[in-house]
Amino acid sequence: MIPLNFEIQSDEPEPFVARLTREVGSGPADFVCRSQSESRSLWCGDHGLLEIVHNGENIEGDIMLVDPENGRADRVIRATSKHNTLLVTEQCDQLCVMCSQPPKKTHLDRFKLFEEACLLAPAGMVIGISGGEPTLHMDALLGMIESVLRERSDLSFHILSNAQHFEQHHILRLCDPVYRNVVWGIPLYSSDPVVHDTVVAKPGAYERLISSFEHLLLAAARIELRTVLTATTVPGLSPLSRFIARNLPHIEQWSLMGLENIGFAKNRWDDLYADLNTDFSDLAAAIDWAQLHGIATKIFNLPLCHIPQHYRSFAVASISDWKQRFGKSCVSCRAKRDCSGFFEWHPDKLVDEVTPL
Amino acid sequence: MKKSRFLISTLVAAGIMPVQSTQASYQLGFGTAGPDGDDEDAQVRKFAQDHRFILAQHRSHASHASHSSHRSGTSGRSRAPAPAPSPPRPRVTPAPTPEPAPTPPSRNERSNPPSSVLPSSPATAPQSFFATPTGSAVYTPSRSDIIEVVRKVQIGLMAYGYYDGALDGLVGPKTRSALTRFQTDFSFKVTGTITPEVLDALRVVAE
Repeated sequence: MIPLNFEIQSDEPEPFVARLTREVGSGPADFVCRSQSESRSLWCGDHGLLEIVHNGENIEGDIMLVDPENGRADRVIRATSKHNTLLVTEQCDQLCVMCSQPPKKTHLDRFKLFEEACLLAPAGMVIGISGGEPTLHMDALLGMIESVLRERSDLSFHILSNAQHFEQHHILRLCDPVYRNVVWGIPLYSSDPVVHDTVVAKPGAYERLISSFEHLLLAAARIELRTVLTATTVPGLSPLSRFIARNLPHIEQWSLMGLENIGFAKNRWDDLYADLNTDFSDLAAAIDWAQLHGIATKIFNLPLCHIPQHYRSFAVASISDWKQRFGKSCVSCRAKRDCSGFFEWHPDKLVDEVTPL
Repeated sequence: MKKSRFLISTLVAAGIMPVQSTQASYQLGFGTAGPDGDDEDAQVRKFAQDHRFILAQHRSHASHASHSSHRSGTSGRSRAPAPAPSPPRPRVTPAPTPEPAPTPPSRNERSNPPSSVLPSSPATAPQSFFATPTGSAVYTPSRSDIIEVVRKVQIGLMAYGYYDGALDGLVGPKTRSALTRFQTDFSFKVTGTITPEVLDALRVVAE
């Protein structure tokens, strides 16, 4: 796994943003490398000295959120990666049964630092925003997005949100042209309100979601629907595809996502896991219907060899580089380059259930 | 090269370093053939005492003066603002604790970083993070690395007359104010922190 945070030393008391560079930088956040050994490197910039403990990873060009008090730095934007995600809060008002990032009660507001970091991002980058539930801090979130995109129209954001907090008064704000560069990734688990509310463990969530869809639709917001494939949701995929084709045809994409064995799902794996390698029929029917109605559909997090040949073109090598792994026999697979592989934390015995293509 | 020879010679002249007979020839005859690298290293090491610092090749005579006045304990606190970008010609206030190598306190014989017995700056990371569970201040190597660089900077600032606090390797209020004044006088970007400009000006090399 690619480490996303490091032990650090700094003589600055307050948190700050640092862009690591080898050349003498000009920006106030630029830190120049002064020395380096196998296990650590020393950087120097306007915020003083910064020593990072790392095992020879290439961190040059990366943007760090440095927290001197806790001796930690979060590697928020890796220059060489397409998978950069800002965790803006750990609070959430839903408690999804398979949540990969179980929420916490407290919120550490780092929007100003994130904003600074985004402004330093390499040109054209898509920056993910996740949580927790980012829209619990709607004003700070929208404020950050607007100020970043006004200065950096080359950047885009992909925001994961449960869409429980969009109100009528947000419509005008979301009509701002900067939101052309923003895609909202919103989970919808079933066309049956009871099933959806059960999955997200929040009564009324489905109804609230539908009214948010109305607001977002009026603002012409770009929406990616996300459905995690669990034993609960897979049987309802076919009706869900009909629901989407009929009621939400304006969405940009419908993403069908393989389960992650982490967070809450780890202890409930046996209850949640849907063996799509054995039975792909529900998924196939849903994709067929979506295709027929012009809904762009993608399969995330499933290895290509688990997907019937005719549906492989819907699969995306979606698992972020820093948490991706492959089975032993994947070495000889010709499709490995295009394959999502498995999550680093996928059950070991399942990782080897692969058939090299 | 020339300057370094001059520096060393002046230090000798100022009585900081004992003259060894084997080296006396070059020390007394500056302007002739230079010393080889090893000799120079040895001299610098000696000057550095146990601090592993490289306050390499001060750029002007001013620094020599500062060292000698430092030694002789001349009084009079005046810090001349220098015309940038050339280094200033400050006079050094006799520091209350100028000894670069503090004697280890008797109650803690094995101990090493002077900072472990000095009040630590509130501006630094929590000590508990680096301390062993018993509470004795044993620093991880990473800690001492950054401490070394800060100490070099403190020594440099002291040499230029901006700092008279403890050489503890911790950036506290005194070090910050010294950095601010140093940066102002040198027309550097004023941050009150150890910036690349400061490291370059003080010729501090991180190992």
